[in-house]
Amino acid sequence: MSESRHAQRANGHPRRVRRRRGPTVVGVLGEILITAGLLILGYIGWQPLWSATVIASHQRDVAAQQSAQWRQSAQTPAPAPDAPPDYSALSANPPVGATPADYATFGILYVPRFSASYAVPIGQTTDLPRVLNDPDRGIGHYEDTQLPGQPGNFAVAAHRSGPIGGNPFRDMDALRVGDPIYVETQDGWYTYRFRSFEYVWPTQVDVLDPVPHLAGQPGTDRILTMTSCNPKWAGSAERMIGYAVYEGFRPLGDPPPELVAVNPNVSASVGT
Amino acid sequence: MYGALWRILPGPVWLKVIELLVLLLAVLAALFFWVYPWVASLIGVPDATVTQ
Repeated sequence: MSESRHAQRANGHPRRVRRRRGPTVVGVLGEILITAGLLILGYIGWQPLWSATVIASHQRDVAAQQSAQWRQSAQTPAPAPDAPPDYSALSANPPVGATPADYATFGILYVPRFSASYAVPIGQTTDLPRVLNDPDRGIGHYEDTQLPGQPGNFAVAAHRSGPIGGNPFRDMDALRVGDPIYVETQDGWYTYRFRSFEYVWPTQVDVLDPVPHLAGQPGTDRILTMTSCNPKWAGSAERMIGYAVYEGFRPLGDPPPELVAVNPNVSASVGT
Repeated sequence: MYGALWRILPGPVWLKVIELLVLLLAVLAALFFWVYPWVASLIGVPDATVTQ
């Protein structure tokens, strides 16, 4: 060390060594800018991790607890294994629950296409802070539309992108015609089959009509309508709509075998 | 800035490395649990509902 200092002094640059030791304005500014860049990159990494992993798994847990509670209190006898039950009469005239209290969780949506263990609680109304942004719910039911099993339109909304909530409809564009969509309530399991997409303006509330776009029609079919924002990850200038058609109903104690086969949290027997 | 931090940390080099890792984890935890959720609440969410 001392030798090199002497050598530099002999070269006639005594100040250069001192300057290198202390922080320069440009150096500190550069470090601050690099740090700011890393912070922003961190946010970009955190955001999908948080919404897709942490909140989505929380919603799954809440849904599993709610489902177990319903199924235990229902005490539906397990079906006899030797005689496959016939639910066609029940499916033709499924039970309809009472109108839920505002913000209350009254259903759970299962969409195996989104993920095998996908389960998100459905709350009453589409209130942002209390239902759609609430990590305990995530999907909101348009309170003026019909309920599962009721002839007409069971319309729900959820986020598809954005920094808050689990974005339950994140993979809505992955749905294919015929994909099963299940709604569980304290009355039982309603099975719907995905039919089609539609892209509309945010003010086109007639997608919520009992027969979409036909105002005043009472509606005899039972359909499920999902609304979410579009374009994905780029604001919400439009709305993405997904329609599904009712297929059948099963009692709480006997969930759809197709769902039991894929979802590890849904078991065929009550209370397990 | 970071050079000053390195000089302020006490102990030999191996201890400084451990101290830096602990500091980094603390900063990341603060970001993940407080700072980023707060930023997310400022950004707001795209609306998903149809309304008149």
